[in-house]
Amino acid sequence: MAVNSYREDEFMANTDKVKITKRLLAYLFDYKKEVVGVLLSMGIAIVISLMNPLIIEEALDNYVANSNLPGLLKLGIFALVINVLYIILVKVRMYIMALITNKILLRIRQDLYEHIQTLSFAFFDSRPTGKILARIIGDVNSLKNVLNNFVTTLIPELLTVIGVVVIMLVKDVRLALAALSTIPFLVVSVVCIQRVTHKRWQIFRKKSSNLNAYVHEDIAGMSVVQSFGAEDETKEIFGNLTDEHRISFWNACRFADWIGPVIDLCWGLSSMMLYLVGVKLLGTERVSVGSLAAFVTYVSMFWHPIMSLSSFYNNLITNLTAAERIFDILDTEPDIVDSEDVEELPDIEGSVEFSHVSFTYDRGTPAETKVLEDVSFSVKPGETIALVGPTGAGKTTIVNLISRFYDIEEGVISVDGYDLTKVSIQSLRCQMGVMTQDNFIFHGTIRENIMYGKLDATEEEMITAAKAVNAHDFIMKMEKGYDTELKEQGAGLSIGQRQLIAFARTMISMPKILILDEATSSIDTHTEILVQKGIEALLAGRTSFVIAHRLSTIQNADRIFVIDKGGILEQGSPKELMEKRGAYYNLYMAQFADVQ
Amino acid sequence: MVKLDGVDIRDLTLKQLRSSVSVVLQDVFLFSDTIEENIKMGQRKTMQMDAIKAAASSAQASTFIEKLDEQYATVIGERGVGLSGGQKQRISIARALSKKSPILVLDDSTSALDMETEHEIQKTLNGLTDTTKIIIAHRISAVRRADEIIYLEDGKIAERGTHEELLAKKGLYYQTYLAQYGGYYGS
Repeated sequence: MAVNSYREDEFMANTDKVKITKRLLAYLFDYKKEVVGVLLSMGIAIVISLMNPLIIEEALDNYVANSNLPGLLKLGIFALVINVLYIILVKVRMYIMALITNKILLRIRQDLYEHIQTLSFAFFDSRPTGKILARIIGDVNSLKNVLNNFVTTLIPELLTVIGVVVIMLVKDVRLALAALSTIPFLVVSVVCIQRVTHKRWQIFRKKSSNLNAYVHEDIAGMSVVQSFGAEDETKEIFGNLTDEHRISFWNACRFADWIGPVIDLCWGLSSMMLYLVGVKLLGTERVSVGSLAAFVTYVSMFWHPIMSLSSFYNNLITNLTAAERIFDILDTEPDIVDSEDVEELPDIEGSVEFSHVSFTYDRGTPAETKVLEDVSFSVKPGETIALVGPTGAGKTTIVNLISRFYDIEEGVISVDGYDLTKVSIQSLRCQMGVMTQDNFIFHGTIRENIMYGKLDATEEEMITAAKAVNAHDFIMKMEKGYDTELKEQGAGLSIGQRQLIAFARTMISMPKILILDEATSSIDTHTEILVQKGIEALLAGRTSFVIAHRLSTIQNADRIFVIDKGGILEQGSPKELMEKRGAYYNLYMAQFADVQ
Repeated sequence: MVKLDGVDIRDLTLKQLRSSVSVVLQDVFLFSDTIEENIKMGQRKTMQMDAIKAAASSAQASTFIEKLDEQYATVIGERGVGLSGGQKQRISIARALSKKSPILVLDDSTSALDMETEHEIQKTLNGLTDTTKIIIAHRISAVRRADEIIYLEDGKIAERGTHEELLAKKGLYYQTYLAQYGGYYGS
């Protein structure tokens, strides 16, 4: 299987930046009214800011020149009022935008999480959990600024720039051209810089992800690290990863930081051009001191937004990579989907049929492995089938296919005559109960963990299920009983106890088909017998598939399938197979080899 | 008090203690890295390929590893995804064996293995005469050849002795034996 680990950067296909930006903007469309409101208030604010230089011009040329103090005072009060209004409008804008941005982030995170739950095993098997977390948490967080600034920076600043340019051109074309002379150089520089920085930010995100994956896994496996005294090794690897992380950040940042100086240079040069042209004209033609002063203000009003726009652009490029990674997951199609014409699987009796089924893991990749070849069998409702055979032979694969966790390439699997691919996944899986070796206990109380199997179960149903698997006794011995808080991954309980809780979780849903994949291998014999007695009572008349190595587990099966080399070597009742003296007989006798 | 070679373990440094004991935990945890790196854990800089292969062979893992496309360089998923339960257990055993510590603890480490494989691994373990082996298991077959079997119940030692002695006692161990083997076809 092609697996990504912390050592390797994740692969990302080339992306269309414009498309990604548009997709991100689409989230803003849900808040059209608020966005328009914000833009309107910003429009007014811009008009006010554009008026300020004109007020200065008026003040200098008409009031100061004529020593008109009362008039100047009136103008001053007017200026004060409109600028206070400006401040209020800015605050209102910030508040509304913060509200919208947070709602959008919530929506994106929700969409991402919901989508991830539909993805198949192959997606999760092929990459570390830490890398998935990095996308849900870290990358979504990064979008905050981008979304906010789209409305608060991009549009207003763009409008300001356009407004300023128009006014400058109207007032005096020559002065305007002088002030804008460095624009071509600016555009070229910015485009070149951003091309490089975009790639570098992508690398930075990949390195962050690697680091995240490593730390996540390391902490989860800390007991192994400590018992093998591998702390120095892990420290070294962690050090290397943080170095790579730091260096990638440094590489991206320092290149991106060129934009500031480039703008400063252009600003300085254009101001210089303005003064040169202005002083030359001042005196020869009618360019007043006030007019020149106004132009100087317009120049800074032009370059300030440019600076802000370039910083926004920088920010966009930096965080666009976050958006790319989020959409990469949202665009990943789940492998197992309901086809359009699915029907709901009705309440089943529990017959299962495999008809010429073949299955290969990682089809079409270099890691392709054919596990099942032309497998056929038929199981009647209520039968208990034991699957035995060497590890890796395909036993777990067969039961995974019954739950349709993977799709087969040849043959048909049917339940009660219904082809699995023609019924909805939900209606199939809700009638199955699966118990594996690795049971996952969630952080929560014992009650919550058991009820996870049937969310609307009653207290009686929960206790019945717990009693059936003989978990009730040890739970009641605990101080808080069913309200005992369990830690993540069930730490604090023995493996056997965890298994029993997971058992109760499966039992409570009263599945029609039960799959026990080495589920009792970690329980002591005594408890296993108790559990099995309970399960037998509940399973009377229900179909089950049991994978186990212990005789005690499989001895009561109706039939045994010996799985090896991609198929079923032998099948029959325990008695029949013993009389055959074949593969099963050998396995059976091996158990006694040591004991007799 | 827990003593190692007569010394209270609290008087030993953690490093001394941990380098003396190799553990195969019940809950097998493998890292998303190559099989080679997993087996080398704790001795990444010093262990050679021969030692890794020898450990894998003792753990009955070399056959399936050599069948993989990239063999020891195959990257396994987080928590050992991509391998069957038995394969994971065998790599975990190889990891412990490669350390060559004087004390080896196997906590229910062959539960997912079929009888034949378990038998082979036990043969190897029996050959490690310089190693103290502490085996925790539910299967009689896993403990049958122990020099001493300790049956624990409710945090106390309920019975102890060799397999034959305990069977003769007809106590708790004997009950477990009967439950696993008694009343079967041919027994």
